[in-house]
Amino acid sequence: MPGQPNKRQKRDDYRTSLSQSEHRIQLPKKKFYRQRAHANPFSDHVLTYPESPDTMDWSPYYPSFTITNENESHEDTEISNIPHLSKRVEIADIGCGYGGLLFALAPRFPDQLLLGLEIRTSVTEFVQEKIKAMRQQNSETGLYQNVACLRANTMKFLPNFFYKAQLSKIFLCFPDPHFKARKHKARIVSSTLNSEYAYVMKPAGVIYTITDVEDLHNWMVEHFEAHPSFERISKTEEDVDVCVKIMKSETEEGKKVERNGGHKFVACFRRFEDPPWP
Amino acid sequence: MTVYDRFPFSCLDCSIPEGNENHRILFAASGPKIFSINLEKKSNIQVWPQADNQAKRADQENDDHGEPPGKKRKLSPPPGSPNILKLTLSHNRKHLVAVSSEDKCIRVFSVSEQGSLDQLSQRCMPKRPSAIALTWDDDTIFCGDKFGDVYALPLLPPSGEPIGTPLPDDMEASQEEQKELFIPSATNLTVHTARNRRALENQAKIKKPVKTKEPLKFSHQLLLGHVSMLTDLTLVTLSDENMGSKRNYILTADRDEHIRVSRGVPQAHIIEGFCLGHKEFVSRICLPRPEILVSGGGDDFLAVWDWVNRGLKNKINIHGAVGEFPKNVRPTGKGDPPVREPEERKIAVSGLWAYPQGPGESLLVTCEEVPALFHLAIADLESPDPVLRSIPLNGNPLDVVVAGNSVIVSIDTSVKSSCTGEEMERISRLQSFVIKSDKSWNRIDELNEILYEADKEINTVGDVGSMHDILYGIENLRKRGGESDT
Repeated sequence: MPGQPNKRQKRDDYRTSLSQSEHRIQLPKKKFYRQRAHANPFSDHVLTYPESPDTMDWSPYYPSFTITNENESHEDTEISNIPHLSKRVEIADIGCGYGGLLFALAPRFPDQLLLGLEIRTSVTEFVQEKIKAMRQQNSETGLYQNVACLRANTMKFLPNFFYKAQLSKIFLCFPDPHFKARKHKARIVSSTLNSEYAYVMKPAGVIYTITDVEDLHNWMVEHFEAHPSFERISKTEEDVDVCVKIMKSETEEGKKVERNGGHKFVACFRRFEDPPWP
Repeated sequence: MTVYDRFPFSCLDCSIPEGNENHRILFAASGPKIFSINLEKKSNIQVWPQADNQAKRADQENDDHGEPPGKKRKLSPPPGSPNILKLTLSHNRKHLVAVSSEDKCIRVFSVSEQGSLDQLSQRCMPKRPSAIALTWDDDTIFCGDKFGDVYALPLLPPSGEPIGTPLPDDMEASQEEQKELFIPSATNLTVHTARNRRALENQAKIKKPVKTKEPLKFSHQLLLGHVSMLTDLTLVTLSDENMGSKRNYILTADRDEHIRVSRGVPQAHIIEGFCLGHKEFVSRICLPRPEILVSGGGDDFLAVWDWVNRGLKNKINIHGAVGEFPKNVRPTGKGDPPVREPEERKIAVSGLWAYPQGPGESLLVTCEEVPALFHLAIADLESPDPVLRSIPLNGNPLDVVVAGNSVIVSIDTSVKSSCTGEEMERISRLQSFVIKSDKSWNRIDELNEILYEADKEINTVGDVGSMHDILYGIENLRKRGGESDT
């Protein structure tokens, strides 16, 4: 394909120059990180993921929340050597894309750790570069230290990253609609996957969903409402939630829909406490 | 195509009447046939499906009862019938559940006292079943599939439900009747990629509704699902003596290194936790004791878990013991590949069984294409350096069943192990052993004689080459670096 090597060359050059520059004050340019909008969640991508939450080293992602352990433990196990954070990730944006929502939420929740999860390599790199730049631009205020992004297939590996009842908020913004009925299992919401979201969520935690595809919206509502661990949050409660407001206006897709004059469908669901054993 | 008249037995199960060990019947599937072998008498074998003329007679009898033609049972499957992959006997030994590969069907048979089989139902699943378990009350079949989903089906379909799923032609006919208007799922206002927009335009041109898959026509319930291939499934009940209550759990394993602990029905949507620690796929899980879980797969260790608290108690290295046996691989027929030892020997655990016989209480282990049966004392599972002992076999083990105090192994004799030097002798496809309290093992002559006779009598013809992927599918679960996806 003519033009293709040229484009790749430009991308590589751009990224090397970015990584070499001492002061990454400039934000990365999106045009060097574009990637097709879909990824197959069932295929074995070359993924790195921890064996279990115990073995996940979060310190490179949240350096200013890392505890430097003075009194080293003498147990020489793999796990005890992993640096700890002063707090756990509690807000996850699954399929964070270019991270618009994360950058809007981070200053609003300075005491909480936010994590974006994205399956596309280039897009993840863009968000990671942007986080570096934003942290440097805001070094005086210390903003954006609480936000990170990593590449993951959450449909398969969510429990490798998070403990039971760890998350208080999950965002599912403008997910891939997978229009074909045959592809419905690839949707980010399904009755069986909802059990995994329930597993990583605290009781009373909230899942936020937004899409411009009415069909998908109805699908998500139907599947969360049918799941015994979730209830839909009322419209009035939704309207006063600051996260809903940000989700509508700050996501990249949200802006695109706005420009296109399309509709946005929002639905939020609260996780119930698990019932006692029968 | 290599047609072979001694097609191996792909799976086994055994009926042992309580308090009457002298009426044992071995069920062994070879290709599309299931044989019931009486383990106490020589030459007492029954086969399903019965020979054609008998089947016809049975059909005729059914017609006399005035059954509507649509519900006619097919006693003899047509040629090229699906191969049986798994056999599971109900706890009360009255029913046998068989899973076949090509048509993804679950068949339920009633089992007579003599071991003859009568097919009661045939239910085709949307994806190929990969694991089957029956609840303790024998009311429900739990079926895990290649797509990661676990369904619950009643063992005996409620009355009024058709006993066979309709043939594909029937399904097409019923679809033509549907004349619903097709509504595209997206509007022009939806944000689209160029390709999506083209697809939407094409959808608008289509007059007829797009064919969608028929929902399952028998009662079933989707309990849980992994976004991965489900490899094994076990049900366990723990009783809390203080509370006097019982807790049911569903344990499921998948190709993405996970072992999931879910609550039993009706709370199967609640995940209690995961046993995480495998680095490769998990292919088998086994509970030698209710509170101890052993798992194996593509790693060179077995993991021992306190699964209730999701704690890893031990990793048992099996590399050494397995490595003593060279891999016993079938020649491909495309000219023998150059014999070279791979730098790193890959192990794929193909089976784990508990042998709960008194002081010889053991865990039995088989690995794919390794001609040996390994055993390990259950008391040693948590010890720091447990010893894995081996029983060399003259072929690859395909399935194992514990029949009282004897272990019956199905051996693939079409791939002969060169290391045993027994090639001149006719090797039986079914062999039995006993593990003694001093951890040594013996062949049981009496039982082996019966099995040897049965082996001689049963000639199943089949194309072994085409079965290879089904009989030796475990190593294929290993991930190969994945697709490039930058």
